[in-house]
Amino acid sequence: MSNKIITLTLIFISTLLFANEDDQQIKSIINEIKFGWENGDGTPFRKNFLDFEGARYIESGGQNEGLSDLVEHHVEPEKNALKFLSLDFSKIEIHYENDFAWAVANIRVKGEVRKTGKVFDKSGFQTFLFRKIEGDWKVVHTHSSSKDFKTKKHEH
Amino acid sequence: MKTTHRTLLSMSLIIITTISLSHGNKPENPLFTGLDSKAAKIVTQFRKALMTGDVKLANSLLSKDVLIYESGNAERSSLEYVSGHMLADMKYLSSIQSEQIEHQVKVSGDVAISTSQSKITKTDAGKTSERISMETIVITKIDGKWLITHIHWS
Repeated sequence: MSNKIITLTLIFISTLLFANEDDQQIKSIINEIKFGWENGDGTPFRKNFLDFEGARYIESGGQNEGLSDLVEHHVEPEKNALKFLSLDFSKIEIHYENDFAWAVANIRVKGEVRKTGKVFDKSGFQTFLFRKIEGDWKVVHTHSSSKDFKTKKHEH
Repeated sequence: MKTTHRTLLSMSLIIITTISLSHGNKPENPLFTGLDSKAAKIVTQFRKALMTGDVKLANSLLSKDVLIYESGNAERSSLEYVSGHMLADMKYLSSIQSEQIEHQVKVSGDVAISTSQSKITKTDAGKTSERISMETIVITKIDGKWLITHIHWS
């Protein structure tokens, strides 16, 4: 009886440890993505995103098709287009389904457009979808949507 | 020489036929892929249910703990969505024209990802406006049944 309890306890602890490892890896990837966006640096994207044909990354009414399109036509150009960009992910929730995970978070985006001097402050939501490939979590899809901060009115 | 020509012609025909058969009669449109899967059919049914105002069907396709992100709002269960914002969505969808311009579904084990893009045309007081709507849906096989567990609309 006591052996059974010990075995079950060990299984429970190891499950928690593994879950914690997965959580840590996914949160670390999200943090690296934040760095990439804020610094116009494609490196974290190339490291953590699964490069595959048909990949889609959505942002409020637009999308990039494929990893190179995302990095070269969205992430890197923002470095010159924006004077600054600050991106915060909060209330991160992660759900697992075997080798698949999806993480959702609240986002707050602040920045200034270099050309016009326009300052923006938006809040919204972010969805990240991951697949575990050879032991590492890789981003397979992202979707972010935001609107001007403090605007609570629903559009329809 | 004639025999060589015939042989070449026959071989070419075989190759052409093989290529044609291996790709089917209708080449797959890369903008619409994976739509024959069971998971994809759930998404298509859900879309139709919203457009036709079928509350019961729409509700039956959602997981109880579905998380829905829409226009800066979050709904955290099917009950919250169905008893709250779904009717407004149905009313909105009946007032616009929506043309799906791409839709891809990828199935990985018991989870599937659906991404799509639609062109929304709205006529209000004689003025027509257009916008692009983006959708991400996660469909999960729960107790042998595919159900929608997450939606992100923007």
